[in-house]
Amino acid sequence: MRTPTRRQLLAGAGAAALAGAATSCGRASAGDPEGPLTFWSSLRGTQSVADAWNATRPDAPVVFDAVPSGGSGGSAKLSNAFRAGNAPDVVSMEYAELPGFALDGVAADITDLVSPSFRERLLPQAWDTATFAGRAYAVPLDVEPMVLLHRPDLLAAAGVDVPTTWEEFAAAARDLRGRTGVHLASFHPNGYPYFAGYCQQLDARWFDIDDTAPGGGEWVLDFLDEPTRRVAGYWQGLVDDDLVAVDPQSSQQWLASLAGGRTASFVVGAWGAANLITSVPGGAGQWRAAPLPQWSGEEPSLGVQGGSVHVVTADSPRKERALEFLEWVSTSPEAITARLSSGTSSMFPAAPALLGPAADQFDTSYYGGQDYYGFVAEQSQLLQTGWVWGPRMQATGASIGNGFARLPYGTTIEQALAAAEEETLPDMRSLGLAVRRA
Amino acid sequence: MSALDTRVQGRTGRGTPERVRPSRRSQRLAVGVLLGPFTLLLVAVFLVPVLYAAYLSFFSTTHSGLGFGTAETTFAGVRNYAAVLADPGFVRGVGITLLYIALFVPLVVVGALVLALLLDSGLVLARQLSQTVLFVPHAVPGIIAAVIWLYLYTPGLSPVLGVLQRLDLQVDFLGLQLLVPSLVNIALWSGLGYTTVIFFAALRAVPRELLEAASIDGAGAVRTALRVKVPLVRATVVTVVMFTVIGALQLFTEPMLMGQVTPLIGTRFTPNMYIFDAAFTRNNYGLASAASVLLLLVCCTLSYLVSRGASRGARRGGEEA
Repeated sequence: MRTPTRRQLLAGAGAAALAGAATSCGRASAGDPEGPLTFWSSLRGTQSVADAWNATRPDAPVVFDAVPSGGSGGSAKLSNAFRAGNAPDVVSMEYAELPGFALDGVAADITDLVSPSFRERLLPQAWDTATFAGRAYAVPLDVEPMVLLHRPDLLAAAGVDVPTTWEEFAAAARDLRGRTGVHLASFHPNGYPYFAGYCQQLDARWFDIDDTAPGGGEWVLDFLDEPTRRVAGYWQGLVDDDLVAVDPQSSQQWLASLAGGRTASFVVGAWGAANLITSVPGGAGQWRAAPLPQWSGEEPSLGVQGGSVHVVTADSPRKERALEFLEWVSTSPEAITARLSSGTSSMFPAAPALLGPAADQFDTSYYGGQDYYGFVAEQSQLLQTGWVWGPRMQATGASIGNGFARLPYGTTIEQALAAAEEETLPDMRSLGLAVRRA
Repeated sequence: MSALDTRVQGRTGRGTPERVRPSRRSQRLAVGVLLGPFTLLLVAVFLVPVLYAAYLSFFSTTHSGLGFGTAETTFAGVRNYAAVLADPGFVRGVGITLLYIALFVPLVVVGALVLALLLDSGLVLARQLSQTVLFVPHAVPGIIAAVIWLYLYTPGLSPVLGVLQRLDLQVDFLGLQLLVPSLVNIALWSGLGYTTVIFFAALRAVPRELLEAASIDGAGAVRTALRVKVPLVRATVVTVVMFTVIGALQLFTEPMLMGQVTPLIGTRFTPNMYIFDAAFTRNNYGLASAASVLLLLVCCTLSYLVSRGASRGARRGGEEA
């Protein structure tokens, strides 16, 4: 191969720059209602979903771009694009990010675009988390009830049964640690959604919406309501007695302790089952899924951890077409098959009708052939409703994480939550929101 | 410098100054040409952004009630300022920065002064070489310096920690107690040589007759350094303190990078990080502007105070001499 001359290189670079300019011009024509639907997502398997749609509906093409997840820059990217007037028509985000984008006017109010038949095909709990003050701002994709993924062999080695209540869970953790030195579970200082999931189970409300307040309603903040105090006290005890490992989620040390059999479980939303398969491949066949423990004396219920929605942006001139696409994404067997075919996701679809196709795609050998989707479907009956995320969850979550990181230095879970509430209030006040503390 | 010197000498050497006054017009032209670029840049990259930030800080995307679907940008008065000052995250950031300044400024100033005095005293062998070696870290960009030190601080990666561990010494540079000292260490490493060079240049300008007189009067090297040289470079010291304090108030790169490896450094660790977080995570430009204006006011006040102190100190220094 001949080495290109400098002039050729320059010409090539120039052409590339021009091509870039041309595509960005194409994007900039966001005002054209006939143009293709633009779509951003950070979720695994979305490229296959877009390809499947384009194969069946060449008349309504979708242009897909993979973007970083919200916390890794995706949220900032979306905000900036919206500000600059070139946001995509459709974008995926986590439930926790939705209130912020709804508040900033990025997420369109789609209440009137959702047909009653479409509404009925998704779980009411899913719509509930995408709805604020009676208006829907997103189309739910999945809901993720928390489950207890665990290693029965490690429990059996210490003569411990799979706990069904939190009291049993603490006792099991004590026995397991005492007899074989294994931690029953981990507390993730970087994972506030996990802790929030435990609190949801008891119907906690860190943020609440008071519709009845004068002037169009009021946010009510209480990061230390009675259920949260109970959950915080419980986990504080486990942490203080070294009965759970304090390991950051996704950290090397945490993965190593799962792989090495030093931690016997992973409490996570339903999506975590596939995550475990990819991050601890050596555990194949050893893991099983069990229900999350319940609080004795309370109605059985479950919190969620994770889950995503699709938002139609407010400036999009193609909202009807976007909704048509999203209905297909959230409810059609082809879409879920395309998404899960790569084997990297075990998300629990918000449309109950998709359980069959989803289960067909999930390889259960890692879980010893257990009917995982059947199990999660049963669990999803217990989902708690009413939880509301705050308008700046990334910042609130960073505050909580900063407090949790100080657990080894004597900060308590309650102190971390109190500090996070203190740091969340000024921001909401400066936005002019009506907000009070409970 | 030397070229300029000879020219000045050349002119005064002629005895009578030239009588031919340049016309007022060409004088104005010269002023325009010489000050123009400076003024242009000052306005474009300092005054306009500052005024725009001040303007932004009084406005906010205002919602009413719950805020869904009712956003509009309105005049918000001092609401953003009240929010910044009520945020414990910001107040803690200011506290951490003050602690950092309290540790870093004395260390770098005293350390650099001692090094400069040593260089100046002639006690140091291979002076040129030592000077260069001291100065080199300053040529390393701050972000690279932080990455190098992160490598040295991270357990499991760092050869230093490895050696210490073999000696049964457990040091956690990224632990809560050593966070600020670890940051100070990075800043010292990059700033010490630079400051030394400034002090050394000032010391070189001290008239040699004075030092001769001191030694004739029987002052030893230490006494000469402390009682003659240091008072004479006091103005330089004060200026350096001012620049160092202002630089320290803007602490950003090092903690931002260290935040990647330790969760103990939050997103609001220093005022500058607070501003960054408010603008780009919380999407609250009004709040970010208010915090920026507050930081600017603190910087301006400090520089004013220090420069006033400096001119007074210099005058006193001159009288003593």
